Amino acid sequence: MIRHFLYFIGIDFRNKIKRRVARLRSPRYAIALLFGLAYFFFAFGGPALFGTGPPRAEREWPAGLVAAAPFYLALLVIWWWLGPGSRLALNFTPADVNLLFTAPLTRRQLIQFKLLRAQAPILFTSLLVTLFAQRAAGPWWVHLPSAWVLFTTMNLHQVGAELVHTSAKQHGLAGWRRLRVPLLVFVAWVAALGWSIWQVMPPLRADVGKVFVILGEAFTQPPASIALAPLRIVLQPMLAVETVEWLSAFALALLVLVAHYIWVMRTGVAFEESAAEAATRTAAIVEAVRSGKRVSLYDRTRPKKLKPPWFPLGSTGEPAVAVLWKNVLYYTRNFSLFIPIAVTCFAALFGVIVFTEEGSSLALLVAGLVYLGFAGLIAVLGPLGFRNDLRNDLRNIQLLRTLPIGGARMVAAQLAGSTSAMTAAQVALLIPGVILVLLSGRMPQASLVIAGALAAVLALPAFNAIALGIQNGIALWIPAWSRIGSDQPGGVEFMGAQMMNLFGSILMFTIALIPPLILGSIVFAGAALKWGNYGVVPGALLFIAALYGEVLLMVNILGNVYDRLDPVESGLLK
Amino acid sequence: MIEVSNLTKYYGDFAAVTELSFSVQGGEVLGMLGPNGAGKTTTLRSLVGIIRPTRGSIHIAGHDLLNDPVSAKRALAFVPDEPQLFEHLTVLEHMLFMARIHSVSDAKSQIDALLEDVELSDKRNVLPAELSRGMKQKLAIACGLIHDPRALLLDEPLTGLDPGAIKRTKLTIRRQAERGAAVILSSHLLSLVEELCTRLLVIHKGKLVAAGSMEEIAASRPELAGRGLEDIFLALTT
Repeated sequence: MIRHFLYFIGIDFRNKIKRRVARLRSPRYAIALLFGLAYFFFAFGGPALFGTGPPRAEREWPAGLVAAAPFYLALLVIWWWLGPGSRLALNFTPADVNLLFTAPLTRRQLIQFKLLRAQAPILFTSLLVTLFAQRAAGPWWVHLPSAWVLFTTMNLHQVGAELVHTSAKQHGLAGWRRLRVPLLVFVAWVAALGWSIWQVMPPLRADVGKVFVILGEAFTQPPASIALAPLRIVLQPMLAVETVEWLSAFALALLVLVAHYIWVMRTGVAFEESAAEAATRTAAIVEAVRSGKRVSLYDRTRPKKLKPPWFPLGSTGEPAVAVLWKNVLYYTRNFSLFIPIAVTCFAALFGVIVFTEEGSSLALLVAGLVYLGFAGLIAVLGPLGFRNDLRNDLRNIQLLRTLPIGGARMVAAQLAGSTSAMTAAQVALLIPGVILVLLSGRMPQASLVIAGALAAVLALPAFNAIALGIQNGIALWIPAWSRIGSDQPGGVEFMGAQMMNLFGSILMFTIALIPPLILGSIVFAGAALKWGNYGVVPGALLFIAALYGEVLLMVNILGNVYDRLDPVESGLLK
Repeated sequence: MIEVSNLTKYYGDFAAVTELSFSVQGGEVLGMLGPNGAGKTTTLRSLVGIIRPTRGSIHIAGHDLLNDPVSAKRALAFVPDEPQLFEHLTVLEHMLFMARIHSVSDAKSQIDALLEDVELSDKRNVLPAELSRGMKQKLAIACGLIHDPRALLLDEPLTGLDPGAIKRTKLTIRRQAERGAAVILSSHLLSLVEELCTRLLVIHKGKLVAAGSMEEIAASRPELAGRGLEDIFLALTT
């Protein structure tokens, strides 16, 4: 069967490459590819890669990288086990389902297929790592197998974590009981890391600046060193300097890989479920395939209680409000604020614990700054995460375009959906952040803090609308770069598209801020002559007003683009 | 009610539809026929404002679709071959959404009646993911009828429907026409077209090859006299 899988994957890979090469005739894909290649080139050392360096025997891996790598891998593992990070590990495409789920294959064979399929990107990534590790320590020819064993083991672990999740979901208590051994191992593993961190809290409190050095040392001592040992084992071949050292490290890493494979296969086999359950799932899968969705090997679409709309929708009035209502509902039904709130609270609590001995005042200030920091983080990353706007709705372009709503109103309603969600999240962080900062008493002018917070609350919707508008503009002009439509870039092209998207957004956002800044500064300068520092008030107000003016302008421009968009030519419709 | 003049759509050098002109009056059901790739979907998409034609004009209920799309779209409804639904809205919420879009004043009674009509009353609080293909199609049809459109365009409306639903959908189409709506029905089901349509429009390779009632088309081709729609269709498109 493996031979057949390899044939299927090979044909699929060949066709993908042919299609990607063919579409390079389109400038947007060619430019994306060039950007992607340039990104990889510079990200992994750039021109230095091709220069001459010290003799190979004298080369060393950066000490920081060696110390941090197992920790980063540990974070990834925790994400797979606790978060939604492993959910894509066992997803199948509709074509896979059509061809494989109807074939006489066992669950084990389907998992084998999934693992084999992952080998193409793993090999590609390993080749890239090999290329860019040329100037690193160790014989050049060891990097490819070393990277391969590392990425394959991590992939197996991700699949294993997903299988455990699924078992627990499907079989409830019985599922947890059946998987008590891996779960106990994971709990013990996290506890070991937690214990080691707890042990270094006193020196950490004394010198927070050395947090990474202190944590690095903690992870070389038991029990963390034992917990991280499997990760160090799979990393060790990459770090080996001598051939003999590499051989033994590689053999050990292979053993970890094989152990993971056996674990995944055994976990998969333990999932052989009743015929009735399988039939239900098959029906759900067939339905999902018909609607063109990606589907998972395991059912996770158990009906759940739906959250009611935040506001009722009357049957008469401005039609665009219906679009806003729908998009807000999309956000409330698909996202939970529990995890971000929990992470923020945990981070704030961590700050309080670390700084309590310095006095409660500093602890409160740090906790407040953590909240404000997360609010700032949303300002930067939010436009990519809050997608309940055109980026989500363009998939339904055939329906949207038949609605009697003009382009500008449609864009305004769409942007209002993501802007309101993003702003609400920021304000929810801003309020406790400001309160904690004020309670700390460390700010000499509380009135300034309050004024700044009020100005932020006024300006945030406009800031966010501009940032989200840029993302929506990219989605309208080049839907594929926003991962919309059937003709999406992949691999290096996708990386290039993402880079262009990111840099383009930053550039456009910066340009958008210039006119309001100039206007605000001129008014401030004039007002300061008369009112001193209070001149900042009219300056800030004009700055904010100019931001809203830009939002209006942007909505009209994007509305025009929306009206003129040809869904077929842009790849949104076939 | 629907006036199409010199409709032309190019994709690069490829002409998907060329110089297509026709009209559909209120009360008429026009059957749009053509083999796969003939340009039916492109024509329908142009008529409902999904794509902009390269040339030509389209008027819906007297409104120019290209210059006044909002007014024109208020008068029409489109039911595509693949139902377009929002994954996170329930059946009832879809109806509420469409009611607001078209500012339907007596929405509640309309929604209840339509859901009853398409047998989705007991599914009003479920998401599309929990509906069968046929139920989704029924919901798409109900959404299209919420504002009592003056122009109704349907692309393969019976796909996935059970016999009972097929019968009711046919009745609905007929009823809409009787109430004065102009209906365009695109389908490969020749028996359906023969049963419901008052006139036919046959497209082949993006061009109009025949228009009129079956009798008129047969009269224009003496060799087809007395033949059924299937023979006429094959003679015109092969």
